[in-house]
Amino acid sequence: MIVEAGHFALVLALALAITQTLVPLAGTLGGDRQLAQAAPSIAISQFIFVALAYGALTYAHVVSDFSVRNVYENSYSKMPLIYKITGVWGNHEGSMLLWVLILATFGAAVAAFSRHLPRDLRANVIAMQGLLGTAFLLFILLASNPFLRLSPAPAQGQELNPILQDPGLAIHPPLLYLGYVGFSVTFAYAAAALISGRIDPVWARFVRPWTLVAWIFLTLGIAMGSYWAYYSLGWGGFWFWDPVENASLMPWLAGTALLHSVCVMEKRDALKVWTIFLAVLTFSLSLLGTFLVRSGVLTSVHAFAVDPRRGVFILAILLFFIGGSLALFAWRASALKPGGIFAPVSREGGLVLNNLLLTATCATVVIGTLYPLALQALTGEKITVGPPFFNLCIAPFALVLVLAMPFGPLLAWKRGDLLAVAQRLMAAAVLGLAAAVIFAATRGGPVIAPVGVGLAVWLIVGSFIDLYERSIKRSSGFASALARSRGIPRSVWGANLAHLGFGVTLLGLAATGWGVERVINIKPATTYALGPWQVSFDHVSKQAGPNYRETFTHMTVSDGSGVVAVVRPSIRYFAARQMDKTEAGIKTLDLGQVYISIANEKADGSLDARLYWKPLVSLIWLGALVMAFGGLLSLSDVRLRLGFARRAAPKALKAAG
Amino acid sequence: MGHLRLVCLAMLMCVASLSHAVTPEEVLSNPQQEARARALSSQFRCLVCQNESIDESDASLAKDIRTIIRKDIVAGKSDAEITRFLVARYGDFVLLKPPLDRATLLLWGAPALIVLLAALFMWQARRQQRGEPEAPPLDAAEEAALARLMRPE
Amino acid sequence: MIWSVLFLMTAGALLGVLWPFSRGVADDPARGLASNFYQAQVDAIERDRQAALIDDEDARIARALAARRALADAKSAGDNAVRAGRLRKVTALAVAVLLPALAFGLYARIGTPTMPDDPLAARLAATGDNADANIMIARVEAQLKKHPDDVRGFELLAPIYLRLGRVQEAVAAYRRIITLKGESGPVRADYGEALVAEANGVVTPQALASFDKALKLEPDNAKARYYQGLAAAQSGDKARALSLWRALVASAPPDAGWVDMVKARIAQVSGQQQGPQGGPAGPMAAAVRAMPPAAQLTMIHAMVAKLSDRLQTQGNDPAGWQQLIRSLVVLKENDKARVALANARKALAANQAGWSQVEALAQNLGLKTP
Repeated sequence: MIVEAGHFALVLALALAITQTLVPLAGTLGGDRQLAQAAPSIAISQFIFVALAYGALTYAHVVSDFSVRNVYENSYSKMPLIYKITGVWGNHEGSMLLWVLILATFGAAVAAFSRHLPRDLRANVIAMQGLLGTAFLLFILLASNPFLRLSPAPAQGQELNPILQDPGLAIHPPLLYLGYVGFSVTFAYAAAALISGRIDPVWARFVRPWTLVAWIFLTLGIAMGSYWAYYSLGWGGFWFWDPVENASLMPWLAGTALLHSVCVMEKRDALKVWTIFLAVLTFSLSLLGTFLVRSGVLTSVHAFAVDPRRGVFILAILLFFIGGSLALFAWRASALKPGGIFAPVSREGGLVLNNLLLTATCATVVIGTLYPLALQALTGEKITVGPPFFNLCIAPFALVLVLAMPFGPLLAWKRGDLLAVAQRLMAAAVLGLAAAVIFAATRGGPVIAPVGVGLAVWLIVGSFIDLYERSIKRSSGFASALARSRGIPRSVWGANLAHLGFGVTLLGLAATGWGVERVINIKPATTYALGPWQVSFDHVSKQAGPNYRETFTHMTVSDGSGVVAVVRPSIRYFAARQMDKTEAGIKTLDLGQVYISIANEKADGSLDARLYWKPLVSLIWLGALVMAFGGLLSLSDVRLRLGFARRAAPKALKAAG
Repeated sequence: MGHLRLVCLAMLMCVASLSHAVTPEEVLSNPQQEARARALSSQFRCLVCQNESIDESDASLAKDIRTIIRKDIVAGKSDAEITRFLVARYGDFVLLKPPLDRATLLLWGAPALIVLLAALFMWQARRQQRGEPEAPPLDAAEEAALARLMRPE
Repeated sequence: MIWSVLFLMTAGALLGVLWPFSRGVADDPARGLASNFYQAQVDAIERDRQAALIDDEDARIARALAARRALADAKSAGDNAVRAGRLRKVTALAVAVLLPALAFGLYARIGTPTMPDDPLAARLAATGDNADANIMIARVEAQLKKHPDDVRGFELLAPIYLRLGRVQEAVAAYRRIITLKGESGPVRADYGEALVAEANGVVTPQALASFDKALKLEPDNAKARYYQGLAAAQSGDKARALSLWRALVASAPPDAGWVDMVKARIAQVSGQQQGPQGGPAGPMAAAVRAMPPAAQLTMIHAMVAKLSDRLQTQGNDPAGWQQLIRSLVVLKENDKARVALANARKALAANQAGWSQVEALAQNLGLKTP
């Protein structure tokens, strides 16, 4: 009964989503305040029923109710409880339900945390969220229903692919979805603004925290996925320009541009077209990503053509929302008059350049990802667009972006003095150049590595300059420097930290050029040199896991003076599926990592092994964490002032005009 | 992310027992030649996988191509010759960086085209913006209205 | 029971929509917002001015623009008066009627309200004869978890595991039997066989050692002798394989069911082809027959899985469904066969003639129609 109640809850959620779309719109367009005022309550109800449905499906997975087809196909009674729970979103139907749950959660969050919004804006935003919910609930119920039943129920489910039983993979989709779907809120805000025709700094102020939330989650989700690939694929690759990865990168690029654009709009009433355009674009790209991953079109155009129902459904949703928002866009073009004017060299101008570069990068990724599909569909010709293409095409954009990044926060609004800012950045430039030269002279390696380090140092030092000038430089002693740094708004800290984080990631990327790789056949009781380390392969041991046998190799890593780490890479053999899975042995040393994976145990006791020393590699993900933390700081600032809790003081009078 | 690679990996694992992409037996004894082989391998895709270069792939076909490349390098062939041979055998599909021809003109032109279009759009926007008056100071009526608005209730 | 729950849920949903209708209209925050937001902007401009991010004149302009926006906002916020009445009543009525209608209408089409939950634990606990083989297995497994020294349970499960292709579990079960009960010829032979199955039909050194041990304990164990021959054949020593097998056939009791299989093996190894005798046909057949039996089983399982996958997407194929169901019954996977039958019924919903063929087959095989 719980399962069927869950199914019914999902149907009710659809009915509520439709209500959530129509009733508030009737209120705002028909001028009835009470109808508009009902919006939050409906959004929260919809969330409750989606959550009930999700809970029911989770229950079915936990108790191994194989009369539910989704459970039978994706769960196994002997799996650990944690993977029964994460297995709910480890399959198509369940992951779409999670998508909708997160959508409804954001809808409810908008309802709960937007009491200060003008009533009509709030009602329209919630209505737009309802429209999105309607589309996806329809999709789930009609084309991807996780509550279909089997009678008679089989006694055992189909075992989950062991690779999917991994903690990294378990957390990755929810994080990514929180990012993807988070941008639905900015989309809903944009659509609501276009409907009401009110597109102004107040609107931007309310959009900004939601943009930040989505951006933080998406940043973490991408970093998480990249680290998962790094440790699980056995050779330490972390980014492949795979379409599925690109699907998450595209909204991130557009979302990053949106984040910057919203700030300009809030402060200067400028870049309205950009902001609305980016809000629509970011979420459209999230939808496109969902389409690419969920329709099967990537695996093969042919497979998609054989069973296109789901793909076509998502495609229709995609086209409906993109087309609808473009139509609104055209209709309200007159309301998008530029507000604050600015000179080309100014903070605004810098942010336009930023938007331009990020959008162009994003467009390149989109085209590179879709081109082979489109070409094959149109002409039947098959080509491959892989990492060499993306690296080549994106490098120039990235280069200009990194060079320009430290300038942005130092430029004045309206009209800036490029030369003065350049002088303030002299220290960063000198240090960056020095780092590049020193590394090139001492380390050698491919040219790109010292250049990358130089750029990273430029960016990191450049991010500090603003903070330094605002605090230490103007102060006499430590105490006043501390007081001054406290006085710096958190959003300024956040922005600079996020830039710094990008520099940190860049440093990690650049250092990959100095990585050491050895592909060798290793024998027990032998020592191998690996960059600055000595790796000795001590012995092999075997162990039985719950549903696999594991062969461990015990290795010790030492420097000149003694043992610094023990690494135990292993091979797991899943007999039921006759499948090997390599578990790399990874040890972080001085921000770099020793990374060893093994395969092919030979009769004489030797093994094929790949030994890597990856200097500074952990910075790639630490940088992403710093970026996310910067976002969080910024968010805490915005939230403090979101409620406008304190009433205006009379002193404001003299400040005016 | 990487789900497809995973599926690919899973499928391959079912077929063949796991072997690392490049195995020690394949490695050439001359480090310069080996480095060339690795660099070249990363330019070709594994034909049976999703977006994996043959340098990363465990599939036996990828291994065959890696072996061909290494043999040719030892035999003294140039990178261009090897690439020509592989393209002749497997088509443009094998190249991770598609060649510039009529079918890919739009692909390679896209980044430049986007920048051009955006620059045009912004230049247009600037022209419209020019001549807009700066805001004059608030007049007396406005000041009074503002004072009323800001008065604490 | 289920219906009252569904009605309650519907009532809850309606409450969520209609409850705010009954409440008074709160003040629109827009008016207070205008002044507060203006204040926040003025503060921000002042901070930027102090950080030299904007000069004094531009700061004045920015403040003036912000002030005009605030005034416009405050003005428009006062505009929208209450126009209550008819629209609200019509909406409330429409929601009260249409929301339940839509929910129950759609659910009636896609839901299965009469079907209870069926968690595995409850099915294991349930008594009665209607439980199928897999449930029995699961029940014994649960029993063994509680009493891990119950050797009879393992003796029951081990061969079943092997037949179902759960090879690894079979190996573990035999190993457990040896620990609990001590060495004996038949157990050693069975254990060796499971090891062979695990190695895809290859008689590994470990398996061979087990067969040798079995023969030490029981010199005329037929299974161990057969696999000794197979080990010889796999290592290329055909002569030894043939002599072992021929001796095995010679000493076999007349009613032994496995004699034909060994004879076929002898014929195969000595190079004489025998005609097809069931099993896969076509070009694959020879290859499959050349495989050791455990590998054949794996192969057949793989082919069945492939067929099943194809039918998932291309379901309008009565012959395919018949083949699948027959194969599953041959493999003694009756409950999978029943699932396949249920799937076939759905897939062939538009093909009544095709379905009746499948149904007839199912009746012949003793499967109940769902």
